[in-house]
Amino acid sequence: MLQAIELTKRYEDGQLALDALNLEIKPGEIFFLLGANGAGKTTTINLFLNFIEPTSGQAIIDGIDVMKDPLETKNYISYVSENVMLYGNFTARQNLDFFAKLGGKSHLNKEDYYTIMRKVGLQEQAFEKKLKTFSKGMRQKVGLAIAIIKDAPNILLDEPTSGLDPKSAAELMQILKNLRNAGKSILMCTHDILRAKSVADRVGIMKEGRLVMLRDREEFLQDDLEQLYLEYMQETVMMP
Amino acid sequence: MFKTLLIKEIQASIIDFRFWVITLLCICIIPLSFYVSVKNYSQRLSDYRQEVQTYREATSVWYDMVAEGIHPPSPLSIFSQGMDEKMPYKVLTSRDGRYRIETAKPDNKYDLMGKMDFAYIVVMVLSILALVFTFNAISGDKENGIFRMVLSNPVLRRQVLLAKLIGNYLVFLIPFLLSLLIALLIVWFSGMVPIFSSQFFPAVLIMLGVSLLFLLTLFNLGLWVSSFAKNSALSINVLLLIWILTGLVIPKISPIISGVIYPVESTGVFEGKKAYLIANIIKEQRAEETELYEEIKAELRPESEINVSGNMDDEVNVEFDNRVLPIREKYEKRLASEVDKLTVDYKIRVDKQNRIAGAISSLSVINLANNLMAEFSATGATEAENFLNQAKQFQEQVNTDVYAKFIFREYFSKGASSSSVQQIAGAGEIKIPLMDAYRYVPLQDVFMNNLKDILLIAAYCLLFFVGAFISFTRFDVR
Ligand SMILES: Nc1ncnc2c1ncn2[C@@H]1O[C@H](COP(=O)(O)OP(=O)(O)OP(=O)(O)O)[C@@H](O)[C@H]1O
Ligand SMILES: [Mg+2]
Repeated sequence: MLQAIELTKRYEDGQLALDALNLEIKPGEIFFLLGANGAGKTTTINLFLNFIEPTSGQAIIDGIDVMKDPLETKNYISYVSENVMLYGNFTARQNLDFFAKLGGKSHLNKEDYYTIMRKVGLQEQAFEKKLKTFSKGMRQKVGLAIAIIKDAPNILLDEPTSGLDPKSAAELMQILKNLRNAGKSILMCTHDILRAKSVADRVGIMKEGRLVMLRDREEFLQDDLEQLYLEYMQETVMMP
Repeated sequence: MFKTLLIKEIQASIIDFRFWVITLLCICIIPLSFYVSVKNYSQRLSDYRQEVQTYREATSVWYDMVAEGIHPPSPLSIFSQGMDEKMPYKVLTSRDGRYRIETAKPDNKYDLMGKMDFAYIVVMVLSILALVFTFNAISGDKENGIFRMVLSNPVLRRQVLLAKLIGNYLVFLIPFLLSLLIALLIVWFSGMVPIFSSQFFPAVLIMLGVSLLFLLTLFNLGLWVSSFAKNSALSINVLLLIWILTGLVIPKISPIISGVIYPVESTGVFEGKKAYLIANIIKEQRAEETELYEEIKAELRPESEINVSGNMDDEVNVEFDNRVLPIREKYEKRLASEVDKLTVDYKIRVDKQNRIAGAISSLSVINLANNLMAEFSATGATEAENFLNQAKQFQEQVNTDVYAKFIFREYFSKGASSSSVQQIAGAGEIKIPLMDAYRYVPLQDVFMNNLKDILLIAAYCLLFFVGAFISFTRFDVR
């Protein structure tokens, strides 16, 4: 479970990137966080990962405050970044092996890695190729494989579909659904409203660091999500 | 967890092309430099032997002979030629006690490769390679976002940093130690320097230790700059600047700065002053002796035409020899005290200037390491001091063995002088004095003398590590 309580981040240069965010993502839920560029989505993820310290408020993962025990919370979280970067001189399998061990999975063998890579749709001949020859989408897939292999109860994805071809993106959505069904809490930051419509259990829209809209699946299916998004982008509506 | 990180770092640095460049470089230049150094050493050794031989054959024992004590080349100079060319290397004794010291002339034959010794390779070449090895170790991963991937896992940042340090350092040491081993075997097989003997091996081990500590210090520096720099380009620029300052600027500029802060006249000026002082005192002494001689002559032989006689048995001379002693004593004392005062004063000021230069240059780790290499190769300041002490002893030895075995008298009267020399009866045949069995400073003493500098490098090493640690554990992952 992912929780944000009055989570606020003001950068050293005075930029208020996140303003008192309250959010709870339960196990078995996919939450889509929408928002324009610079809205504060990556900042939210960085706070959950303890990459930056909150100015105030708390980020809580499975009941543990990230600030209090960052090391412990990282056992319970998988992360796929916007632009997955891995060791260019290592092969996909070696990268997978390294990160699996870092994530605490040290008993896996070559076949396990191959299975995961097939699952995320990486072509067979790339398994033993050096990462530096990979396209962006291929790297994203390896990143996804790493997140899946870690098998943590919470998953953070920051625009994971960027660089993926439509088929791979659709496959990713299927994988996310499966993970949700397996009881994971999933926070996905994206600009992709269409995917949100088809996959999300809940959607939030963020604007200038504030969560300006929060809708359940039933609620946003009734309204036109695209229309809602554009409306919220134009005017600031306070949360009820 | 740490093991995973460490193994990954080791693998990553081994497949990096920089590792292979460094390996190739080390394998080529380290054995080559030792090969050349050994040749150079054997040349200098045979030069030395020849010089001693020539001195033996061309010199004969006489009351005012100039005995030569020559510094044998240090076998460990194959590691570092240090200040070899600026070292005092020859003492020329003198009957009046004022021996001269000569400095080695630059050895032009080997100038081309002369400085490419082990110390140079470690201190200049490997130091810069160590920085090339580490400059992007952290900034690179920060820039391309790998840390975001790594640190989203339950690893402590300090584990990541330590794995980087240890992994890269160990990999760097492989080509270094391997080529050093090859080089030492070459030295050993050459038979010129028994490098693995109990006489030399401890010093070799200490030099190896100093090299390892020095390289570790540079690794820490590289990691520090790499962790506070925003990107690799900035990191390499800052590191190059630091290297140029510590490697090229500070060592050259420290004597200049200390000369400006605390000016001291050159040795030439000082020697001139000293010579002038001595000449004046001797002139006064002669005048007084002449007066005494004239006085005695007037007393004993008022009518004599002969001015001065070289015959020791001459009654005037005998009387003079009896009465001149207090004058001689007086002037000897005066000469000793005045020359001493001048010399001590000069030495104090030169020492102070050197201390200032030393303090400035100890800002540079490169300089510290270079000095240590010279010190443990017996080509540094401690050894220079040691030679000067032995030169003094040699003068005393020649004094008792040769000069004291002759009675030499001088008589001065107006417008003329005469002298006579007599070997003391029963002195037997006097051998040509040799400065044989030259004693190098014992390793323990060299070590204690330089412990401060070793600790200073260790302090730099720690400082850079703490710096790296703090910047690395504090930075925001972006
Ligand atoms: N390190 C930083 N220092 C100062 N300001 C920052 C920093 N990182 C982000 N910001 C600011 O914080 C705000 C939120 O940035 P954030 O990266 O969270 O946006 P985002 O929603 O992820 O945008 P995008 O869709 O472009 O990825 C922006 O205005 C940005 O300029
Ligand atoms: Mg973002």
